[in-house]
Amino acid sequence: MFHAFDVSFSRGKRRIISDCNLELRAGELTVVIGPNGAGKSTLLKLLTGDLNPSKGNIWFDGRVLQQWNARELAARRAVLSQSTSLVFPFTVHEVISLGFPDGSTSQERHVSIRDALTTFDLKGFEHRLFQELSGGEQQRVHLARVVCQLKSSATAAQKFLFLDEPVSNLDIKHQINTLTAVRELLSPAMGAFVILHDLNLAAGFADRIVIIHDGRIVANDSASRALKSETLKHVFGVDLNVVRHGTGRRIVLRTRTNGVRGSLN
Amino acid sequence: MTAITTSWGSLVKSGRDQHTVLIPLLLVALAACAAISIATGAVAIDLASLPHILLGSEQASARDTVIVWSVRLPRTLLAMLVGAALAASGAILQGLFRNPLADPGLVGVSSGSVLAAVCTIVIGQNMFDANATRFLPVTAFIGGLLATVLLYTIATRNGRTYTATMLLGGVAISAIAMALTGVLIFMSTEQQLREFTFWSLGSLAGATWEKAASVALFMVVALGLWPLLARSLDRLALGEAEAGHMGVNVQVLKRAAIVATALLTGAAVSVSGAIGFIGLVVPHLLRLVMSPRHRFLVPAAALLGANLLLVADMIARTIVAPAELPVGIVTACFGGPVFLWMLLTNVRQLES
Repeated sequence: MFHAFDVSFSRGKRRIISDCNLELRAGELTVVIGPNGAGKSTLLKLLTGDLNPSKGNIWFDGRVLQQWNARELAARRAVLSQSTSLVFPFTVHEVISLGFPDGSTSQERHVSIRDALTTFDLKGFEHRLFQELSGGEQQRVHLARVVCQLKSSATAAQKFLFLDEPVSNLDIKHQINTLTAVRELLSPAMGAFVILHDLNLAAGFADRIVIIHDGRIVANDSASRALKSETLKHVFGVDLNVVRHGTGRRIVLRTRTNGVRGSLN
Repeated sequence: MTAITTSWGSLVKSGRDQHTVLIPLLLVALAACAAISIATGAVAIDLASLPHILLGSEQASARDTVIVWSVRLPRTLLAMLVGAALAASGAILQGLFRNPLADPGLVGVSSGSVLAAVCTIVIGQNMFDANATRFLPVTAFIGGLLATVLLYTIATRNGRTYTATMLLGGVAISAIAMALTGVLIFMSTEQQLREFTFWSLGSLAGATWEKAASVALFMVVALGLWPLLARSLDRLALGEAEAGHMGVNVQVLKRAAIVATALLTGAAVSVSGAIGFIGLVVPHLLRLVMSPRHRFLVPAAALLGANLLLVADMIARTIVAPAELPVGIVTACFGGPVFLWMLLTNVRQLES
């Protein structure tokens, strides 16, 4: 499991993350929400080892993150970044293949890639050129790549998926498909940490919701308990109603009388 | 012809194994070009008699045997090796910078090697050792290495390489290196002065077996690094952070790629001066017809580069016969327009 102890991160004089304590468990889908610039992506980069904390430590499976080497870590966690660019004309199949470990056979890759493409509604896209796909299709190819990276590593130890706004370019059907696929991956040996903007997607799919505001974790609880009108008002500055749906999940609605200045209606 | 294009089309559609056709094709073409190159020159040699000469059979004329073994063969080999080294170094450099416009000549790596080479000739010969020129491959490698490291530091910030900064940084590095080379030329003797044309324009005249052997040695070292680099360079195409997430030790990869590029460029420059555009044009043309995976791109680039430089050298030594053009002029004549075309087709990426 991942453990952040009193983690802070500053860039120059600016504090971006302050005293965060967080535990990620396998089997859980942890969703992070918060306004733009709150520090969500920075927190993800700290947890994946892209950035080193200015203070505090992050532990993964009993070792400080910095003690892991890139190859060991790649077998245990995969990361979908917010924006990636690709300059050379790789095909979809080739892009997904990059995630497989060096010793994998082309037969293994072929089967897993076909399955992953089906999961993300990209059946038959193997030989299309990645650069010629739409933004949403590219995003789903990268999702297929990170999922294949974790599935192809042989270890039975716990694995984690880190996704930074995985549905930002997707239509509603693919948003739901994608998050459903991520939920189906969860197991006692697989956890996920996902940054989302849509509060209702968060409410509908998360086991645990972490709310970040100005670099601090202001809520970290089960999906139904973390979402409260007062918290959302404080964090986003908008009046929102949290309603309980028949399924037990929460729905977030904008109240009719809310007075956001500059709003169009 | 139609049959060829149709089968080519179905290959492209069915998968990405064009290298299985392309690499043997390039090998055959290389053998043919080499044979023609050996036969062409001031004294024409009958192609049919080539096997006798090369196998040392008694039917070969003594005159032809001397010409082939002491002039044509080393020159043909050198052209192949230098072309292969430049094209492979271009392919690796483009992978490192994640940019199809990187070229050892354009971005100042070659001028770094040239400066180091001229330093060795002028300063080394005057002050230390009349035989300083035997260290040329090593000093050219060091010059190329310094230029690559400098350029990488200038053009890459936070793991992103900026095309404009890279090209302009290359122009700046080239300008500084050329200025310093100019100062050295000013201090040089007349004989050394004549060699300056050789270094700045690039030429394969004066090819010897020793020169071919020294390039071959450097190529073996650099190509030994390449299988270790190939998959990591592919992953780097998605960005430094992403490559790291997929298990690549990015710092080690970058250092290895810089060393491999400098080895290949340095080796080529130390025997033939700065021959431009081979490293730029060859990988780009190949990516139009085959997968950009470095495992196959780098060897295919080496083969196509060898072919192209052989043809360019044949043109260079026959077009104004009995005189000879520096081969760099020929490569610039076809490379320059291709570079312009690449710039124009990449305008969108450049201006972002």
